[in-house]
Amino acid sequence: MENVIYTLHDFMLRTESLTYILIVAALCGFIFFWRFLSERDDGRDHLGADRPGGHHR
Amino acid sequence: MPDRKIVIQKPALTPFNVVAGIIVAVGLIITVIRFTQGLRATTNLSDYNPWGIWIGFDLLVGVALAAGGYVTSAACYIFGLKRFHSAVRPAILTGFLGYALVVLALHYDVGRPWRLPYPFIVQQGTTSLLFEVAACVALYLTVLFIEFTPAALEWLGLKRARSIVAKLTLVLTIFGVVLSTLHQSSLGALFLIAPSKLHPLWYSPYLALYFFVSSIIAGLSMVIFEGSLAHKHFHDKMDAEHLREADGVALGFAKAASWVLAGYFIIKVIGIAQTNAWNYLGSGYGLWFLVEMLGFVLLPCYFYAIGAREKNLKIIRRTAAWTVLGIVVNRFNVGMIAFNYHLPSSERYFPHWMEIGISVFVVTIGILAYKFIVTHMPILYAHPDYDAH
Amino acid sequence: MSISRRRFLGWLSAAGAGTTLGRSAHAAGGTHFTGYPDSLGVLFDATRCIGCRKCEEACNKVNELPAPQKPFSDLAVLEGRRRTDAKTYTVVNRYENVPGAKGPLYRKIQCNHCLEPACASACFVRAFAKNSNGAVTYDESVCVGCRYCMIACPFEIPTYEYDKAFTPRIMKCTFCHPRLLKGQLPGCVEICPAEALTFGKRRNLLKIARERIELFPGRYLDHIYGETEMGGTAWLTISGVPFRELGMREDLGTTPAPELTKGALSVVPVVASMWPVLLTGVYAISQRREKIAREEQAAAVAEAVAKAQAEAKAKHTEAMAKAEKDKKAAIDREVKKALDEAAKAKAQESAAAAAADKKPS
Ligand code: SF4
Ligand code: SF4
Ligand code: SF4
Repeated sequence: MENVIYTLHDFMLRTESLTYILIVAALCGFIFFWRFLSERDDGRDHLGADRPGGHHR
Repeated sequence: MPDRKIVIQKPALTPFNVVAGIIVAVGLIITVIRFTQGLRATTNLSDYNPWGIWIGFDLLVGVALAAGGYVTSAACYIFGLKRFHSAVRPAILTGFLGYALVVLALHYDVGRPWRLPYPFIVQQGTTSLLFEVAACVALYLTVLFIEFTPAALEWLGLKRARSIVAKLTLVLTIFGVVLSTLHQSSLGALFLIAPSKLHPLWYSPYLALYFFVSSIIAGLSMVIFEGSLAHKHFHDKMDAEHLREADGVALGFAKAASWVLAGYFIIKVIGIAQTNAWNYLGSGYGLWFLVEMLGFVLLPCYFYAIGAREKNLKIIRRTAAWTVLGIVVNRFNVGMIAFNYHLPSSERYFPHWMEIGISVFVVTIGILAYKFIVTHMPILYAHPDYDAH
Repeated sequence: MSISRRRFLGWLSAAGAGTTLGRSAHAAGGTHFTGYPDSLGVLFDATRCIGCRKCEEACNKVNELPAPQKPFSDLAVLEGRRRTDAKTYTVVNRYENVPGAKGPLYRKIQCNHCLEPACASACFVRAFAKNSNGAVTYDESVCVGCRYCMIACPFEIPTYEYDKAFTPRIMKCTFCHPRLLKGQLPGCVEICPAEALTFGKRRNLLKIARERIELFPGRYLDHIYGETEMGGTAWLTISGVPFRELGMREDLGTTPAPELTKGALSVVPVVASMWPVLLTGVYAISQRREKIAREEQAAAVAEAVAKAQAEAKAKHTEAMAKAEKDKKAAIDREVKKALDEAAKAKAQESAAAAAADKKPS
């Protein structure tokens, strides 16, 4: 009885909780992965890093 | 450029100050009643009508009208439309104030406001769309606060902190768009759970999409509307860049708003087709629905287009105000007018004057805060010591 | 599930426990759920109810609710239409002049203890729990008072203590959960003198209801309200007149409440993960375009400079050549002039010599 999910509500409670954790992890992961991806670029595209001369009007 | 030294002014007895003072005083009195006597004493809420204008206006309309922040910063920083740069700061400011006031108003509405952090720290009701709204609003308020800080930090002269925040611009902008997409749409999705209570013309599986798309319209229109108000009252605070770009912002945003309104109209019609709600169009609610669709969607769509084609700022500004009103109408419809449509009129909700009082009070606080900030901080002009970010 | 255990379910345990799914047919594939198999329920038979309000009284007593303004014996309150409120978990309403009915009809209202409760699905602090015995219970210790559960409930059951400034609660029928745990009957069921309320396992109640309908086809409509409404409810109703005549909505549909929000909820992770990808892409493209524009501009400037330089150089060489030519011409001219002069001088000389030759002779 303990391990079986009987209601859709319970089921969604579990899947949604996991989903929210995954979303947070994904968003953090994205930042690092994008930095990794653009690290070797000419310094204009990576987040949070110096953008000499870039990003001006 | 305004002087940054604090000038001590005598509070002048202008009509604006007198009216604002009265509203604030009344608001404070109602606040005391609300928090000592409870909701019964200050609202017309009932067991049939658990949500009134503190949700229908302060939350639904407030959040929609504060969408200018994410729309403008996305246009400028993500889509690279740098000619809108001078519009970003004012839009972020109104966004931030808007959300701060939404959260303030929620403290009046919920029964035990001190428990507002409970969904995050005590128990997570992850199946609830309200959970999603709460999480996104809380996070987005934080994002807007950080996005707004450069202006405050420049005002305070904290260069180092300001340059750190400036570097985060892109991350914050993207995060802001994600959060806004989510909670703007989820505010509509809140009503998905009550198909038996919301009139079929407004209930649609597309509710979330409707709320999201109309929030873009609201954001664009608010930037134009607010820009025209700011021009009237804070012209002296604007620098050359702002003044040079302002007309371009209005024209560009009008064109965008017209285009989005066209798309919005189409998906609304398709929504009716999907739920096969055509036969309701003949009823009283149907008439009101047509007023909303034709008067507040199609009409502004057309006038924005004319304004953008003929470069007529007067038409654009009036249309913006009208569209903002249209957003209010739409949110009122979903939240109150078409909600509980099945109940006899004796059970229907009409706001208590104190509820209206608090809503007016909250808006007034917003205007006062806006006024203080634009007269003191570099919002409508770029600070001479700093680069744009 | 006890309250303490439910509280214990934090983020991780709530999510992690999901890994145990799929062990039984009930959760196969995680798509179809039929509710707790041993769920209890109550069958309300509208043809038996006599409108005595005894259940209201018993409910008031066992739940220790405040005494009403008018005593329960006063049947005059049946004149008006009432609903549950913060001091009343259940009410009985009278419906008169119902077509096809001989006398007035009555219906008891209380929480239907849905199999998939909309209130629980809507609550953002999980204040509601669907217990394995069928009862939907509420935990006031976490409730924020947003009243979204009241918006969500299709039967308009939850009520709010609007009068209280500091400790307002949601109030609704608990299925007498504490009594059930002790093995007692719900207060209202226990007292009903007309046996309008039948308590038992929900699946047995469905059988009983069907039997009654079959045995007395003239007395009942062939529908068990609550069997499928909103995904099914633990409390069921059978009646001899259409349910709308008893103030019950017939347009609720069979979709359980969580299903209504599932679609919107499932879009959330998609937006949260694909928006950053798309937006960063758009950003990178706009940056790139800007960079290319910058580079093109720079290239154009360089080209213009080079062209100007080349032109200048060409002009210079030309000028030089011209100067050279001029110089050469000048020299030529000078030389020619000198030669001419020399020739002239020579001629003069020879002429003079000739003259001199003539003179001395
Ligand atoms: S009837 Fe309403 S309050 Fe009762 S369980 Fe169902 S949704 Fe919840
Ligand atoms: S009012 Fe309380 S129980 Fe109802 S949804 Fe809000 S937090 Fe949950
Ligand atoms: S089950 Fe208990 S709480 Fe519910 S109506 Fe009957 S007596 Fe009242």
